[in-house]
Amino acid sequence: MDSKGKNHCSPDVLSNLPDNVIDDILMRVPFRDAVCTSILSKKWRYKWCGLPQLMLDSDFWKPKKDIEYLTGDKTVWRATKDLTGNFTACIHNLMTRHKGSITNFTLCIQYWKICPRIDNLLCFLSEKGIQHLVLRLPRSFELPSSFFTCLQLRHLSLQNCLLLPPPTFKGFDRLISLELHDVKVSSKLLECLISHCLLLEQLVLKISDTLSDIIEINAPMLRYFDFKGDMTTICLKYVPLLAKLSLWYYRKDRKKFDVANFLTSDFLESCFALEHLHLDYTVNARGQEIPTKLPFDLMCVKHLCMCIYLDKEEILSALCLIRSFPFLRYLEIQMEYNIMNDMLALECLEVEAFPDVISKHLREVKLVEANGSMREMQLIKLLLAKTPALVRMLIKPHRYLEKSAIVKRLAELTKFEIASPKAEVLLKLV
Amino acid sequence: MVKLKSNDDKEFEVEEAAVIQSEMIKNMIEDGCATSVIPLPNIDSKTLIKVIEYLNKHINMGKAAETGEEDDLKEFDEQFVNMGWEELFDVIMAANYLNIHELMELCCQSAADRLKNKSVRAVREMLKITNDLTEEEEQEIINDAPWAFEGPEIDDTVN
Repeated sequence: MDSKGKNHCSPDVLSNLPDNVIDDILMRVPFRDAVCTSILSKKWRYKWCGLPQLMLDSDFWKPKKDIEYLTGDKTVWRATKDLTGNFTACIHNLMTRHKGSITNFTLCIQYWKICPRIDNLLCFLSEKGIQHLVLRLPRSFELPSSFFTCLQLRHLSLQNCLLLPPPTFKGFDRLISLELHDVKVSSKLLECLISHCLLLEQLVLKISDTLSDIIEINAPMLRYFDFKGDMTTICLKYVPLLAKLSLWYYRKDRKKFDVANFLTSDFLESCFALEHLHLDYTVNARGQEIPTKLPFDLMCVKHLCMCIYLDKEEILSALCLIRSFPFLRYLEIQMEYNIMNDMLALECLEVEAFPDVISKHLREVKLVEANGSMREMQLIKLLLAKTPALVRMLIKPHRYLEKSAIVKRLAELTKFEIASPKAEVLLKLV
Repeated sequence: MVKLKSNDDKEFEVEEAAVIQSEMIKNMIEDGCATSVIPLPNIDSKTLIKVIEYLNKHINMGKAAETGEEDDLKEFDEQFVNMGWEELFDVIMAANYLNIHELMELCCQSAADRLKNKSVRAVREMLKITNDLTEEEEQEIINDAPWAFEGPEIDDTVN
């Protein structure tokens, strides 16, 4: 290309950058764009061939018109035609041209109808010493046996596939992080997979098919665990370092969550190092007896985040948790706006019903998606009156509700009694 | 306070808590080599001002995560990388030299996002690359990986 009078003197702006920086940029572009750089100039011709980190994302290397958005029963993206031809050519280029090691590889083709053959690719990656592998595949695709030879793996993220390892497979014993999204896996294999990773620090399990048996989690190094599924199917047996836990109750059959049982069980008892807890569940089981405290205290929890619909049981379970974390400093409540629930005031939430302080050390409260409903105001009033160390309460009104109406309702706040002399209440209108 | 000097002889005072996000300067401070002004022969004052702006904003990264102010930080980051190619590369060079991991990541990601799905012509123009390949060589490259060069959704605009 000639530069047609444009800054003749100015050289290639990338030419001053060190190679490691150019690689760093190229590793962040999709594979197709990386391959395309081979035609920029002589200097660029073989640059992509040495990249240790590659990303094959279906959105970027084939036309979008081949994927359509289906609405109706299933709101999902699906490929409308077989895209495996291009894929084969692309993998062939990769396998014949690439030099050096590949430590990170990402393949995202979860919207395809048909899964192409990836056994050779996985063999190739295994030989290249793959350490960080992300596979988002079409539904129910059975991973080939070559997958189980990638024993150097340190980070593994899988979506939508079926795991049936050969009998000789002992687990990936170098894994530091494991993420499974909608992966079909037996309870036994999952338990075995986790307990074989003695170095595992991060675990993400999002399972919509309920597990058949309860799995015990023994993970001496685990620090972060994000779980979506049915909490009653897991048991946190040995997690001495677990600091951050996120639980999102979900069942395909919509069976309701038994919160009373959860709060009286020893589910969290082994999490004595827990600092952050994020909880999301809908109770919807009226009339359950909610305990005032867990059977044990967790002394390290500093940060609690909950999504609640402001059902009576949900509010009481939130208060139960707050009381069981004596050193809680930060509380975030995400209000799930439920028009059906607006909602009579609750007698059990009246300040008079609480003779004692709710939390001695709570410093910050954040209420997100607030709408100024009667129950919400009750909860705010209660928190202001019963948290003597409060420094700040931040209220973020709901995105879609009319600001002025909320402000008007929240103006009532100024009349509330505030236990902490240092507390300020902030309204954040975005 | 730590004093930094750009290659055009301008001095800047930065809080130690901010400046230690640079691994290089952190090591210098730990080794006791940061008692007087630290000269930065590769960085001009315009770029250094940008870098310091970033360091000051990210000073309390850990705290932001705790108090839920990540949104503000994200917004700042988006605004921050809203700059021309040459300025962006100056900041990348500075971040690379000073070894500021997060800033490096932010800027390289921004560069990558700008290159995504762009036509060859657009990339050459944006990066001011002079094509020194012969037509035969170009054809050879295309024939080798035709799938990479086809598709109607290639974006030909320059940004």
